Amino acid sequence: MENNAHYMLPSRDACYVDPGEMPKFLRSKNMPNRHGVKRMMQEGFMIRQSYIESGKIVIPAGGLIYFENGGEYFGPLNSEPVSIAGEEAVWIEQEEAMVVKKDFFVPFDDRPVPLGEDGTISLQPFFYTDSYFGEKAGFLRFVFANGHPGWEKRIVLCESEYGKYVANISTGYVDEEGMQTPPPIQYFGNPFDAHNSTYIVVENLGPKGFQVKEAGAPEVNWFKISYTPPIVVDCVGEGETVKAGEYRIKVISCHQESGIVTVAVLNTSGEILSQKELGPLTLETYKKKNFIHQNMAVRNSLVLDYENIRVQLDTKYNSILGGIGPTPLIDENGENISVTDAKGISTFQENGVGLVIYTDIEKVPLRRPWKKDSRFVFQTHYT
Amino acid sequence: MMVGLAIENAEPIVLDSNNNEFDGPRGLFKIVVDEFNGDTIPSWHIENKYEETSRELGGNNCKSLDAIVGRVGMFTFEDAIQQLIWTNPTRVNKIMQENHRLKKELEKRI
Repeated sequence: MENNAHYMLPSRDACYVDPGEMPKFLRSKNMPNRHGVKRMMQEGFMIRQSYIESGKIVIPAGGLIYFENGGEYFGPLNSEPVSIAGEEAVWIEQEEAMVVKKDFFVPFDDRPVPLGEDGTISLQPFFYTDSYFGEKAGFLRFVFANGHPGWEKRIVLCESEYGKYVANISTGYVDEEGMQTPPPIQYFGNPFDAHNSTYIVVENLGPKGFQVKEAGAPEVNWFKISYTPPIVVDCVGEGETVKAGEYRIKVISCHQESGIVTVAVLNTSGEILSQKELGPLTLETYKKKNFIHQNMAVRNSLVLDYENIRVQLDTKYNSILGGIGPTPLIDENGENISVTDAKGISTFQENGVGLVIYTDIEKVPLRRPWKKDSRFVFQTHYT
Repeated sequence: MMVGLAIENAEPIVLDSNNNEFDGPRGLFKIVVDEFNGDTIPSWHIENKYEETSRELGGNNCKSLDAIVGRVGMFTFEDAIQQLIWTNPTRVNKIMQENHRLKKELEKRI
């Protein structure tokens, strides 16, 4: 278990290959998402902790790590482009979780302690000041499996009358250990703010390490991608069907006022396989939940999943507000308009609704052997 | 929450002078050890599916295959790159430019 390269970086005498040497592989590319907004896509890899032993070169498990940077962060509802080892795909969904661990010791000068199974986000002591007028202060650091020391948390415990008594430390927030889905603290915003959804309750700290009562951090369980571009239909009226591979998608009812649509997946002979009420999707949805693609509950209310197919309301996108989130709308001339001015320009048309249909979806679990090549496992690049 | 994906090897990779190649995921890249004498790796390089080849990465002091290939993201690679001693990007760029200049001069003289 410990004989792997997780949480480590390459050695200091590692060699560096510049993107200029292998431009087709390493230079960044621009790929558009469904709304035509371009995302930077970049690839590369790292070899870490390799060594020579008894006449052989060994790269430990996790030592060869390929990285890809695409549109993952910008969210599932926008059909963002990603690259899976050089093959272009569409990002569809990820299951977010919070990994929680209770009652453990984080020693100095040792391997970081993963909060879940090996390869999940881990904790490492970073700094400790000796008891100073009864105050103990220290830093704990979250380390990702890829070696990046992510975020630091400052811990202060006091034995004086001014501080928090060790005996009065709270018992924590989450009842159970392990992956919690949906996460008890949902995070919205950019990746730099992801540490706002982490927490640490430290019981005691000293020169040997930190005794942690409970700690939690965001994680991902699985993700879904498709190598087939999505089918975008601008307007499907009530009672109409759309062909999607071996299935038919039917709009059973559509209420523009309330923003609720009932869709069904049919087989070729017209039997209903699955049916769901999607929505509500109104301007209010965009207004209240700014980054709706980052809210698991909201995005689940806008999609119907059946086996390897997904039907989604054609959410809109505005690149003005930070370029993130399908917030307000683009009018017929292709110009951005603010939420308050946007009336009648939405997913709903006069006599129908816009749908996005993904086919041939693959669900890929993280930290498990890849079905297509069991020599490899998937990891997040930056949780 | 996630900025990108990573794919890592599940089992250790063992290479020697007979078994000297390893294919990356989907054959996107390939690690090739050209020369290995049991203690050091005098010569190794990287190939990719676009038929590009890296420069010679080995050397008489090369005792591992540790490498940083490309610059993905702002975080992990920056941390790793900052602590490099010999081949940090500015030096590599300088060496590449110097090579380019020398080649041109050679061509002129010939």
